[in-house]
Amino acid sequence: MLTRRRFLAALGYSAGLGLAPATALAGEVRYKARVVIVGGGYGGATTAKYLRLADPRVEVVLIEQDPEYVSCALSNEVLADERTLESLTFSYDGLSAFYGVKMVYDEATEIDPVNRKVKTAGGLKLDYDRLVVSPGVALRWDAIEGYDEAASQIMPHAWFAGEQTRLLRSQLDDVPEDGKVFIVAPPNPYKCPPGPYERAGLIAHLLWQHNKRQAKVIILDAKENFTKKALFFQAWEAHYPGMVEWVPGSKDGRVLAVDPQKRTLKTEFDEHRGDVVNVIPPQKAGRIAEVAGLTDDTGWCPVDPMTFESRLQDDIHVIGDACIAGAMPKSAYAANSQGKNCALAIQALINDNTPPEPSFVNTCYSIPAPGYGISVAAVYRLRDGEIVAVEGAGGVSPLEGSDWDWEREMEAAYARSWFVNITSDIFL
Amino acid sequence: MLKVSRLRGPFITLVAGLVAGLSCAAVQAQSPSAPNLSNNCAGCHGTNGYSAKPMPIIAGLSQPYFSRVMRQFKNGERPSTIMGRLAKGYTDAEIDEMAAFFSSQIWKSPEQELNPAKIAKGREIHEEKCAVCHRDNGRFQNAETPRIAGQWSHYLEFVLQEYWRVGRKMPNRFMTIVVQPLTTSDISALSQFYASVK
Repeated sequence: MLTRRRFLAALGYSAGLGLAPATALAGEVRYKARVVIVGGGYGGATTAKYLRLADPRVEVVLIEQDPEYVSCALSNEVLADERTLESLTFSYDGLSAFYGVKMVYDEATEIDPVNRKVKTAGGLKLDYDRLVVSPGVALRWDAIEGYDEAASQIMPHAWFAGEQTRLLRSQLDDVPEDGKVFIVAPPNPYKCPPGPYERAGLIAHLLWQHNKRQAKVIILDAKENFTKKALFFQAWEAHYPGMVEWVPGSKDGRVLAVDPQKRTLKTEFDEHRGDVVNVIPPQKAGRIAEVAGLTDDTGWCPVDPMTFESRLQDDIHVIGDACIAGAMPKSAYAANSQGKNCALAIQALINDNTPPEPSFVNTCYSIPAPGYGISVAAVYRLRDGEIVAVEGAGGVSPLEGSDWDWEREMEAAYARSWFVNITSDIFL
Repeated sequence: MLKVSRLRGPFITLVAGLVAGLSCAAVQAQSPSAPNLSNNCAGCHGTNGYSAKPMPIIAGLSQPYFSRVMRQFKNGERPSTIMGRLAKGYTDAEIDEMAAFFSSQIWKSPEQELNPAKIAKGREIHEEKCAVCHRDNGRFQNAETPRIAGQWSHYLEFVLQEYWRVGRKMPNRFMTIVVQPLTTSDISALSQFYASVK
């Protein structure tokens, strides 16, 4: 039986850390309840671990279709050759070996909320006492004319890390010296608000490194504004002067149609042709949430922020990108924060206790140029039944002032450290 | 003799009013539970505060020190890249809950890749200039003094550079006076020395 020592060896701590042993109990286990979790990403995997830590007598079954998790967060660095996909890839072995999470590598296809069962593509029917649905986002294939799943093989979205990231990266090799890379940025709300803009910087970095300094990265945006906007402009100007352009919706930035064969994009008044076209389409909650009747007419899942219980179905919790979480953005940190609160709420509910008052944090680091990090952070709490940002707290990195440029270096180091810490918090 | 019936009405109204007032206050001022407050920190500082480098380890920091530093971040006395923005999100009572949580962890010093020559030089500087406050080779901690023995060397270097930079307003004048005459090589050596102490 693996001991707790091994898993933090990777971080350098050689002795055991004395956390409550939550490994699968040897022999017969009488679990008091079963919680099934659909989705093993930043939200679902966090919930699995923290629920097992909170109450080892609760059986946790995690249904995840992929045998490994590839983090979308920080995957933009792959586009700049600043990191590998391998460094973004995580096994679920730790969750099962150290925390006794029962892994089911399969796709959840149906939920029966009345009889409390989940069905999988492989034919399993799992009973649950409580269900956590954390499926992430689904891309709206109907939103931009011509942009369907087939189109994404030519105009990648790379909004799920893995093959799509590889595809986009390889396409960047063929950009001519004065070529054009288009990024189509979606309307709110979507997963990873700063993502398209960090991507623009890192793609510009790659082109710069390849001496294609006459090339352009053009963001066609459905929006008028975006997170950390002034900071991104500052970063682009400092590192890739003249290379990155941003076109807001009001200046005809909203893309209505694309033609993958011709590599063209149509806005209301114009047509563009790109050497590489990265379309990040509008989004909605992951498919299983929709199928299970957890979404409202916005396409996202309304929940009670005290426990993340669905407002539409009993005994089902929805967390992460798929849910409507008040002021919180759709981000990895937010999903991780919600997962922990949800785990403790579920522990309370199973034990007939009052769920504890929640508290949330989000921090989004972006690295628009290597060694140059910026951040937005906020602390959230409940007020009048809604998740709100605490007033007077949070905010973005400074644009100026003493040491601001030195702090960019530290923030880049912290960004990468954040990634190691959060993935260790989840998977180790 | 007081007629109970005449008193009861207003008395009950008064008590009901008090109870209602208290309930309202309780509903609006609900404070998050200590685990819910503290678990959020793990996203950057690792599960229970055992971080990966160079994010600082906070597991095992002394309770008064944690409380004090978070207040310094909160009121701007101590500059930061991000902690000021986060610390402002908590009441002092919530900060104290988190301090209790993290101080109840046992300090663990991770293995680090360090340079023996730098460690030796750092020890010399420590003995001459730092040991008076950072007793027991940096293990000692109280409200004013953090444990630095076994902290990530890169983080120690960052904080020393903060004190070293002219014009960066740091909260501890002693530190500024001691650190500013040092060279960057001294700072690197000191960081490695303390990082090497288990």
